[in-house]
Amino acid sequence: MICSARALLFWALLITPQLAFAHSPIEGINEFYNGLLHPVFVPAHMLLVMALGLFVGQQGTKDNQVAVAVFLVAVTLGLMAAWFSLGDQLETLILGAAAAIGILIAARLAVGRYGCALLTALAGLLLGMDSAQDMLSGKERFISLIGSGVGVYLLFLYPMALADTFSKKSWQKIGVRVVGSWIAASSFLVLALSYSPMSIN
Amino acid sequence: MKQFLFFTAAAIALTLAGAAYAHESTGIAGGFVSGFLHPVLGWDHVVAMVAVGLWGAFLGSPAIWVLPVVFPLVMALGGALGVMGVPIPAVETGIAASAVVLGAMVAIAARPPIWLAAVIVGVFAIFHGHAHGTELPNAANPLAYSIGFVLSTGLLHLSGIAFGLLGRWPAGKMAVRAAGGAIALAGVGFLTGVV
Repeated sequence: MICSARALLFWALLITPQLAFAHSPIEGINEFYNGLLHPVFVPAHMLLVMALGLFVGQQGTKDNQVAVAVFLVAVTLGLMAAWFSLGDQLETLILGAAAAIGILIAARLAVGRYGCALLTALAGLLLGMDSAQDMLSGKERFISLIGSGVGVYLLFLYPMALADTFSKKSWQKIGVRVVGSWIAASSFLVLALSYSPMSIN
Repeated sequence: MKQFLFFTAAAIALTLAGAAYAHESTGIAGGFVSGFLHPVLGWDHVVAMVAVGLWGAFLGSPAIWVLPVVFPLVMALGGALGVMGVPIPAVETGIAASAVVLGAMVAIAARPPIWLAAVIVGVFAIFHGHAHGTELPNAANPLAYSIGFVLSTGLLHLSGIAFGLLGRWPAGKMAVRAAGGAIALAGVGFLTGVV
């Protein structure tokens, strides 16, 4: 009887379903898609790139075509820096940039072509430099960085198009400003946390 | 032997019980959900946020957008104070008082200058932000938590604005003012501990 009870316990333990904790948040997809989804799964990147897109769209895409091109160049340069592991732990700067751009959106401040290009250059550089996935190396790292570049640029274009389209009626302009204030508030709070003595990070 | 079998069966039952992760606040999604629900699950927060939207809609342009833009920005300031551990006296009283004052403003159809309305809303935003901010260091993902609660707060404002737009019609104006009165009464209930 003891033997059968032990056998029962052994088989019960063997068939007990357990959760599989993966090393990567996204298992089963290749490096390109991991890179592509990287800005979506890093909230600080998401905030900055959305803020930047809304900001350029609010300033007017027709007058700021240079900024759109500058962003592409800056992200590429940032990704090259990430390839050489230059720049890491940039989240504080990224959140600071998101908060500043969020306030500019909320205040609807016109910064001119050069100001817009400068801001997109700085933000693009930061996003690119912070896009490296440490666990990857060699060809896999390279492909993931290309994916991140495509992801960041697409995420920049969507809110930009949205803000540009939503610039006709007053309620649409208000909506963009409100979202800007949300981005600024969220970023500012986490920035405060990073300097807080209560921080657990 | 019966006892042995009983304990064996109990041990098997224990091993079969899997962990329940449905309500676990882990990762980005967990942080976002707990942040999103924080203002929604506190009635004092809910009624005050709705009152901000109601008052903004009642006052019309530019208050309809100034108040919902000012609120999250000043709330972030209050949140930062909470995160940094800077104490603010009587936070809960301030939150309850916000429902009383903002609800009363709508009920009596007060139309102060826009700067004064922004200051009133801003002062109360500090109390609300402080309450959310003190929870931030314990969140599974602080950034996702803060995005969640800012978004949730904004959507509550939007609910107030949507209802406040009824004020374009005479009967709707009465309904909006009645809603303001109800919010003020609820605030009195929070202050006195009745609600």
